[in-house]
Amino acid sequence: MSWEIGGKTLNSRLFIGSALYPSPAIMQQAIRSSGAEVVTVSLRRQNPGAGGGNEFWQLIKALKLNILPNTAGCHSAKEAITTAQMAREIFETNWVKLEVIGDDYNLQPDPFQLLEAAEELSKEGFEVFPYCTDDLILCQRLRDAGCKVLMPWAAPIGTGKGLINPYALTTLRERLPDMPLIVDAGIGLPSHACQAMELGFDGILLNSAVAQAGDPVAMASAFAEAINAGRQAYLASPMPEKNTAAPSTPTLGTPFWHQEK
Amino acid sequence: MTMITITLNGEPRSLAENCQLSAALTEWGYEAKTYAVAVNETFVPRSQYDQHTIREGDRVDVVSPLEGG
Repeated sequence: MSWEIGGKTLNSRLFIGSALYPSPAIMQQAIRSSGAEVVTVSLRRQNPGAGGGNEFWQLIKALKLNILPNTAGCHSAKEAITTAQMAREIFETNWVKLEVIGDDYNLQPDPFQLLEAAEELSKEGFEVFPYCTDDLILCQRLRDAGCKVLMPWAAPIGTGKGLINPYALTTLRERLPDMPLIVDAGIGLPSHACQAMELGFDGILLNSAVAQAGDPVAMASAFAEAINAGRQAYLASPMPEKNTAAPSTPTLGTPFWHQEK
Repeated sequence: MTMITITLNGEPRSLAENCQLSAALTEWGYEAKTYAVAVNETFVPRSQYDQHTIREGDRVDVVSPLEGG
């Protein structure tokens, strides 16, 4: 079933990264296998005469997907804004995955710089996809700053730990019912992605979980199925959890039953 | 010819005084159009390369697409 995000209609709910694959060919195959229609890329310094990422860019362009440039590595609103502006010129898109890192140890976003950058870029007409923590107030402020989608982490980037705070993510879903929410970062297994989708998240952005799997192409396909399963489960309204057992087989007419004396 | 010193992607470089960004990029060998430029951390649109003069001490960054998550 199709959905809309950032002014575009998509069928897949998986956004996939283009880094860390064993080879460019496997990257291409894995991205295709994932069924993703959005791929993330970065901008890095190009030395003169080095060909400047042209080869990589040709491979990505050949996939004919939506490009979501990131501002990875930026530590201030100023750096992130400039990177987004450069990305808009190169990739000819107003989409940006806004990353402003506040701590190099766990790559935790700096909420204050992130908010400042989000506000400015929204004013400049960008569709800002902010990589943020799962803090409700931050997410509300990002919404107020003009973000039409939010991308809270499940766990720190590259850890593969899955949803370390399902309570916070559930709260976001409940308190921001109309805001598209994409879990970005920390997913390690298809079951993690499925869990996030079962909570009602609208999509999953991941990279390492596919790229660093033993077989990235097969893992990409596994994620596609898990995300679809999670979405279908959410739409089907899961049963309420209970603390006591309840038999599913009718008790009336149970053979050999007799009244205890 | 008076020379100035700037940095290109963090490395020191000498450049003729009053050089336009477009001329500097050509001199440095940037040909393909898959790059973007910032000077002193401020984006310079491609349309302004001919008008933008490089000054002593400027920090020029030239970036291009690369893999990312």
